[in-house]
This record gives sequence, C-alpha cells and structure tokens, in this order.
Amino acid sequence: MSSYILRKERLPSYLKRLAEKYDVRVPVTVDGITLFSPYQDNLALDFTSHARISAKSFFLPQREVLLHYDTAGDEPQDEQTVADPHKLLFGVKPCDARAIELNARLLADDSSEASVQDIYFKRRVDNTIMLGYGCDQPGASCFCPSAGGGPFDRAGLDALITDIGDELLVTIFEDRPKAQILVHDDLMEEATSESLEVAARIEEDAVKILSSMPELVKPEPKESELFELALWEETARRCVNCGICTYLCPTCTCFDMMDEISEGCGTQSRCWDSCMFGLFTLHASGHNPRPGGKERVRQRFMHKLSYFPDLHDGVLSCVGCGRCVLYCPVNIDIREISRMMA
Amino acid sequence: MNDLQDQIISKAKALLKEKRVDAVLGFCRGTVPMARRPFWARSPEEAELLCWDEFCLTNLANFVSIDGEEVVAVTAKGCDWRNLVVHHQEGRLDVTRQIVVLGIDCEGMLDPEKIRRAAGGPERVLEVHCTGEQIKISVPDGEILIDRASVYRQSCLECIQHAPLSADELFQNPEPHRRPDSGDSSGEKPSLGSDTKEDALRNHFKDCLMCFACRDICPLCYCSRCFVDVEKSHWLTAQAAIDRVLDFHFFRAHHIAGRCTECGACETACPMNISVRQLVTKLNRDIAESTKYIPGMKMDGDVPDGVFRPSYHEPSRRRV
Repeated sequence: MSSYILRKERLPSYLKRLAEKYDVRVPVTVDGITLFSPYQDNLALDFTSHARISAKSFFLPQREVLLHYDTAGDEPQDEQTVADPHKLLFGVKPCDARAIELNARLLADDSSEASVQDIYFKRRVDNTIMLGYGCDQPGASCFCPSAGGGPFDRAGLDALITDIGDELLVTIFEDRPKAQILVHDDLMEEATSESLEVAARIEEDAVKILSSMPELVKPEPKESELFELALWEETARRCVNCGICTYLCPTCTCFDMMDEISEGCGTQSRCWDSCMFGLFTLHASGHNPRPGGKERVRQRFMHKLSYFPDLHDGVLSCVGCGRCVLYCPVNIDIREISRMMA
Repeated sequence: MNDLQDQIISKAKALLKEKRVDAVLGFCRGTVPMARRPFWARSPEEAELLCWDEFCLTNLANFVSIDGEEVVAVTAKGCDWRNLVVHHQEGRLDVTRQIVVLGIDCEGMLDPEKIRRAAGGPERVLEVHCTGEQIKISVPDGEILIDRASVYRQSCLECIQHAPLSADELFQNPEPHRRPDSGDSSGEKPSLGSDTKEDALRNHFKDCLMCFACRDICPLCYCSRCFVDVEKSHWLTAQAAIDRVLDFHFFRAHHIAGRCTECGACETACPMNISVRQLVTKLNRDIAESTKYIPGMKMDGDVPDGVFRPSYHEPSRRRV
C-alpha cells in the first residue's frame, strides 16, 4: 500500500492521462440521477451521490449477447472474442466495489476445479480497474458497516481516494496487479504523514456516523422456522413485486437466457431477471413454486440473509448501499426485515 | 398538516373501537426521510401510528383488497378516490358498500426527487422538516431552506380534483397550504419536444429498466396476467431493447387511457425519474377533447369505449 497526493486542480489532467489508455467512466449527475458516463473534458463529477445503477452493470450488463450461431454447423461465436476495451471506473463507492467481490463468489469462483466460472463476468473483472472514492459523508440510507463493509473499505478496489480538502489522497493497493498504472509521478507527490493523518481522521468520522446502525446478521432461527414467519405475509401486503430492489441492488445477479433465431441464424443472450417477478419461477408445466407475493418477498430476503451466507462463509449478500431502502415505493427496509428475522 | 393527521387518527380509532371496520388503510412513517408506507391499522393502538403529511404519495386504491374478506376504511386523496371510482365502474369493488372512504381534501404532495436534487443528492438528505411555506432539509454540512412551492409533485400541480366528491367523512386542513398554479398543462396537450415523435419517445424512455414499478404501483394495472408476463423472453430481449421498452409503455398507455386519473403514482415510483404519466396524459387529453370524458369523477354513467350494447355497431366494421 502506498499513498500519493493529487492536487484537485490536477484531477482533470490525471483523468485525461488515464483516458489515453482506458475507457474511463466517471460519475455524472443529470436531472438528479447519477450514472457512470464516459469521461470527457469539463464534465462536472459527482462523488457524493451513489450511482443510481450500481457498478455491477459494467460487469453484468442488463442485456448482453453471449453467442451468435447459425444452423450451417459453424462453431458458435462468442460475442466477446472481440474484448471490451479495458475500463477504468473512477469514483466507485466502496459498497459497489465490495459487491463485485461478492458477485465474484458466485460468478467467478476459482477456489476449486469444480467451480463454475462465468467467463463474461470474469473477463470484465479482469479488464476493469476500479478506483474508489471514500464516503466521507455517508447518507441516511447507508449502512455499509452493518453489512460487513465500511465507507472506506478496500474490497474489490485497486485504489481508494480520500478527499482531504484541497487535495486527494490516492491510496494504491499494490497487491492488486493493475494498481500500479494509477501512479503518475509527474502529476502526484508522495503523501506526507500529515495528509495521512487527516485522511485517517476523515475515515474515523465517517465510521462514527455509521456506527449507530445495528448490525445486519444472519438470522439465528433455522430456515424452516424463518420460512413460516408472519412477517412475510405482512410485508407482501404492501410489496407490489416490482423489480426496483433487485435491479438497483449491486449484489443481485439473477439473469434469464434466451435464444432468438431467425433465418438460420441465432443469438443467445441474457438479461437481468428478478425474483420479484411471477415468471421467474414459472415452470413449463404451469406450476409455480412461488405463486404469490409472499413467496417472492420471502425468497429475496432469505437469499440475501440466509441462503447466501450459508454457502459463502457467513457473508451476507448485501453491501448496505441503501438503494433498495431509498427507492422502494412502499419502503420495505432490509434492516427492519433482518431485525424481524433475527 | 398535523391537524389532518389528528383528525384521521381519532376517526380511525373510533371506527376500530366500534368495530365498524377491520382495518384502516392509511400511511405510516417509513425508515428513511420522506418515506411513507401503506399501513393497515387494525386496533385503536395501531391507529396512533397513522400519519398524514406531504409525503403520502402513493395511491392507496392499489392496496385495497377486493376479496371482500374484511371491511376497510381508506384514507383517500382526490386521486385515490378517483381510482376507487374507476374500480367501482369496472365492477371490481362496490365503493359505496364495501369500503369506508375517509376523504382528504389534499393540499398537494411534494416530490422527494425534487427535494433530493435541492439537497445536492439523495444520500445527503438526512431529515426534512416542512413548516409553513418553507422546507428545511438537513444535510451533512448544515441546512438548506427551499420554498414549498418549488417542490410540489408535478401531477399534484396538474390535479383537477383535490378531494373526493363523495366520502363517508371528509377531512380538511383549516389552514391549507396554497399550491401554486399548475404551471398549467391541464388544458393543453403535453408536447414531446421538437424532434420526430419516435425520437422524442425513445429519448423520453431511454433510461427505463423495465422494472415494471409503474405498472405494479398503478391501481388500474390490475390484470391478473399482464401482457408482458405472457412471453417473457420477448420483453427481455437483448436486442433493440428500447423498442421493447416503447412497446411496453405504448401498450400500457393505451390500456389505461381514458381510465387513468393521472395520479402520478407511476412516476413517483419510477427509480429513473421517467415521467411515465406523460404519454397517458396526452391520450387522456385526446379522449377528453372528443368525448368530454374525465376518468374517475362519477360512479355511474358510461365510460368511453367501455360499454357494448346489442344496438352497438362499429361504424366501419369489416366482415371477414
């Protein structure tokens, strides 16, 4: 780990330099919605708001073509043999970056030979550099420490920026193979011990703001007991089963696949899907194991707080970004559900 | 609006105590600033949790159960009531017999997204206090004061019926806030910009995620099987996604045109701030122009293209 100072007036030159080699994406707010946009000169960057759509969309896009094939018997063509240009996400929130690590547990697990890798996701992870921006002003809907992260958590990041006033402190995580390309000696100076102290204080303050949040934990009761809780019925009364929570969630990775064939040529593609939708589990027979809102809302929280941690060393499938809480039209709050499950 | 809230709570308590209803459907406070959630108070104690203020945004007609198993009293703004009326007209619910309408002479709701924008971002809103004509937003580095008039929800500015026209009880604030004039689009047809219609529509819906929140929050989208749920892969296609997005919004708009009360629940729910309502508003204006019909204003009477009589002949019907 090494730290550098980047004076704020040099940020445009720094970004320009990075953009010479990478497809740089920066957070930009238009009409109240922050999204990662391709870098251009003179964009007003917004490091305060969470991107409305999390960084997951760069690794698991909402829609993507996987294969082209034809009936003539040629080998299927993998859409990504033409690889994406290497991307650099600048100003990613630590919660979003941590989510990519959680997604990788599912989609790019290389712990054993038996594990399955999603090559599309994996390639993008390999080809993307993530430069984080520490949250010095966590929001009212933020609860990253409760979910096992933190406003300056480094999980999934190649480097992390701390805003220390007139300067940015850029901490490079050298154990990450691509981190070194973020160091540009002519634009940055080595960090002084004073600036490191300032950054440490800023981090402490942010952690303090979030410390009052109760911890989100894997519920104690057995799954069979959790399954029968009255809270599912109650919650389902107001849940409208829209896809907002799952689509905005950085850790939701469910997708559906489809083939579209015409005139001897076919395309296999995939799209985000949502456990909130009735069709998600509808069988070809017509039977639906999750026929109603109660079963679907239960599935979402059981997956995040019970099934996923069971399979992944107790780690919850939630990073505490707060999007589902903030944008749910009927204010279903995972923190509250977690308390009721515990 | 505290006065209104007190009136609602005391009425709800009385109804529940006298066991005249099984539940009072209203709003209670949520867990983040400006969030209010649909809430069923089932006892006089629970009625204490009912709240009423400028963030009771969603349309409760969407949450009224039609199975008739319980008697519910509903707090209804003008728009909620108009949607109940459409349900009544369409034979889903007998509003006069099956539910108790606690009407509210609505002063107009505020738009959380406008307030978030004024605060400098959604996460910066720590608390919101609405007193008089000023809104005080607490943000991490201080406070921001804005005029109430600048943050009304657009559909509330265009609202033509603030209070139910018939209700078991009607609550009014003795000193109502004055919402500004609509800025006004109630008479004119919304314009979709100067580009070609197709480009304008593509642009209008370009951020749509197909989360279907607009449909799911809409009291009038009650089909047991929506047309987009018939063949999912068609709607989730990876190619030309915007065409599918437009298909969805077009079909939906035509399905609710002449029924939609323009309550704004859809655009309030939209996580991408798309003004979903605009397309239907345009169709509604066309219908109003040719038939003088305004949806959801009276329980009886015909609805345009909604009734078939034996004597009815479609003018240019082609026989196959």
